Amino acid sequence: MHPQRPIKPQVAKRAWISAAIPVLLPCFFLTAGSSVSIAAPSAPVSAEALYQQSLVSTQSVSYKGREFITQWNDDGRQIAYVTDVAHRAPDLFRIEYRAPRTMVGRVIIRSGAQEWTYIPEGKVVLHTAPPSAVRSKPTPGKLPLLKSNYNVSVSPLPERIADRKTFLVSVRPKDAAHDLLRLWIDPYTGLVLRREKFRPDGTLSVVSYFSEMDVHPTFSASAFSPDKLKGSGVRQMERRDPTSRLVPHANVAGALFGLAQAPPQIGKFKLQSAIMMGQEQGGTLHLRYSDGLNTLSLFESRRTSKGPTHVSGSTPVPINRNMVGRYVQRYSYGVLSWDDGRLNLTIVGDANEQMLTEFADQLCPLIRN
Amino acid sequence: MNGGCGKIREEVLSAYVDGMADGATLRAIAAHLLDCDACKALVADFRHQQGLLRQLKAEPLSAPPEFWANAYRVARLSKSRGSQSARPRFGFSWSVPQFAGIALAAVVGAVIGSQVQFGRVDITSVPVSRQAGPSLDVSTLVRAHADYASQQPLADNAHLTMVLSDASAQGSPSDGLLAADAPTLGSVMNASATSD
Amino acid sequence: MSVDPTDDSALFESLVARHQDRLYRVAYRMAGSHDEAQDLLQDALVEAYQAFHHFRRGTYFDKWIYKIMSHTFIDGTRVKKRLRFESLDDPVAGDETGSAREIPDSESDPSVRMMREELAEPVQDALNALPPEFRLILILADVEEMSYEEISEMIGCPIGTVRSRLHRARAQMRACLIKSKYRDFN
Repeated sequence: MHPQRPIKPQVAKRAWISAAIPVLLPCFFLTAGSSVSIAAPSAPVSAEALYQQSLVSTQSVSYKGREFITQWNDDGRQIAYVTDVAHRAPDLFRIEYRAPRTMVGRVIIRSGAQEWTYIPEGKVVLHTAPPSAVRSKPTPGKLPLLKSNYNVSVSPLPERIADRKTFLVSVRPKDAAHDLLRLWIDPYTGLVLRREKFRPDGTLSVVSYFSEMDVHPTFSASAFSPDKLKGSGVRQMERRDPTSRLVPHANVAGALFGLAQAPPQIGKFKLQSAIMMGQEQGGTLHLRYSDGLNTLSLFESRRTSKGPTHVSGSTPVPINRNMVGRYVQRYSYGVLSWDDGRLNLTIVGDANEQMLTEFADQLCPLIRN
Repeated sequence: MNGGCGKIREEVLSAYVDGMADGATLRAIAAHLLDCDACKALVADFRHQQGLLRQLKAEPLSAPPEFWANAYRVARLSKSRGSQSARPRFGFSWSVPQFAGIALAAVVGAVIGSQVQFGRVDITSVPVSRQAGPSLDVSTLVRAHADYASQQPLADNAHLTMVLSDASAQGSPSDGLLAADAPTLGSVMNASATSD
Repeated sequence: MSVDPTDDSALFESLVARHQDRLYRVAYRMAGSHDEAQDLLQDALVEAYQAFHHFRRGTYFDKWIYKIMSHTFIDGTRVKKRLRFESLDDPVAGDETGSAREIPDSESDPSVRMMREELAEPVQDALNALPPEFRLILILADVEEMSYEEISEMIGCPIGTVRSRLHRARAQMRACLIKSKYRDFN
């Protein structure tokens, strides 16, 4: 394990990034006005500094470690995983499952927008790729938006996670109906080494942490090669994501032959960008929202089915007095689908059933007759 | 399979449990069971199993209170949208004389037109489709959302990579997103199972 | 045969209401869980309501709607059959993390709980392990006590097929119960 040392950005060519680290870190202030230098190990750091550090880390810090994830679903199920994670900045990942027993041996290699998944029980490697490499650039920081919706504070005393120093950043929603997030951030690398998410009622919904962390390790040349997943008797399968293209802001309202609903804001979530998935004729408009921390997606397509979008395991949910939607939890996301007679709509995001139903109720009056 | 002595087919013994055989056969089987422990044990097992299954009927099972009202509402909504298909999904219950009369016309008509003209569709040949349109399945939408989330500040990219991979694998193979000559994940899985 | 559409929904609902307990019970036995049973029943009701104008008044409504539900069930399992590996979203019960598919049972009546734990769950587990066509026929024959003729009409196959399929279903169920060391089977 490497001793802690100031980071060296590995891939950024832009001058401002290589200059930013030593400049940015001491320059941000808490609203209370205190300013600190991150170089002093025992001095307190600001939440903004840690936030900015974490923005850089994903693009520039390579690491490998062992991560534990436990999730508690709304229905009371508890699911736990252990994975070995390797990341070569900026966008290569290799993940191997170590638990649960039924998923041991599954390996994922992700390179940008495509990934290869080896599923041992089927002896198959599934390659998922976009048909064209359309991928929007990483989002710049949204600190003002974050602070408008959350109170951010940092604990003055460091804690050790995976044998590295971290500071606890608490992100508390100003609206009590949202989740609370606690992040333990390594001030030298910006890596989040532990995170805890709490529901509005105070119950824990997700905990993830690294028990081991090796920063800037040496990777072999083939560590992230999908060829290593292939072997005797292993079948290859391809799956393509739908074609997608960014929709300029001015064109969003006219998408889907003028039927699109494109509210600039849904609850606390503000519209950030729009993507058209598939061809215009039968395409799906993906509106992407953020509240500075969490994300929400609204998918719309012209309605050609006979009823609300059916999702296995979903429950019918009344919305807007006389309509019925279907709600289900997928991974840690809430998913609510319905149709308004002209469009199939689906919201996916970091929100529970009640919040999604309220969002759907807000959207319904926007229907154009 | 591997229960009785083999002198009487197991299928016959199974039907015997239901009384589904002619009188002579039933008497012959009854006589055989007096002397054959293997067949007697198999019949006893089938009867016992039948008894267990019958007891399941006694378990109180009911839908949640709001289920039926919601279900009727969804059914009404679905119908009010109107079916896009010109064919009715389920046919009439034909009685034999009606069928005989229509069959002749059907032989002629079938050469010219589809079964739609006679309003009768073989129920087993019509796949039940929940969505007629090109809408993407939920796994694809979840994947698109996770991809967006992975580009956000403070994203847990390792966990999101797991979600992306899983959502891709869970996506329906029938949504047209597989390469044209690619086998479906299910067919690969089934083939793997038989070859092991 | 067309009926005033405004009469349809009330009549349909009253006919379903007469059989709703049994409908749910059969859907549960077919699907194996409450969530899936509600999905199955919801889909079957949508199909049945859309086809209601084809239902001949005076014939047995329950047989008609069971037929629709049976086909909905079989067709549904054909789609699900394609994907049968562990998901991050829903790992099977019994792994070392202790995760489980179903919500913990909060039934308070001890005799009902005992019946469920001692009988219903092991037998339902054995049913769930059967291929859908076998599961369906066992439910119709041995749980719902339908005759071979009724089953033949419902599934749409000759009585000879009902007989042979029922035998194979019973044999496979017997093997499952022996394997699970369920009491009284050795």
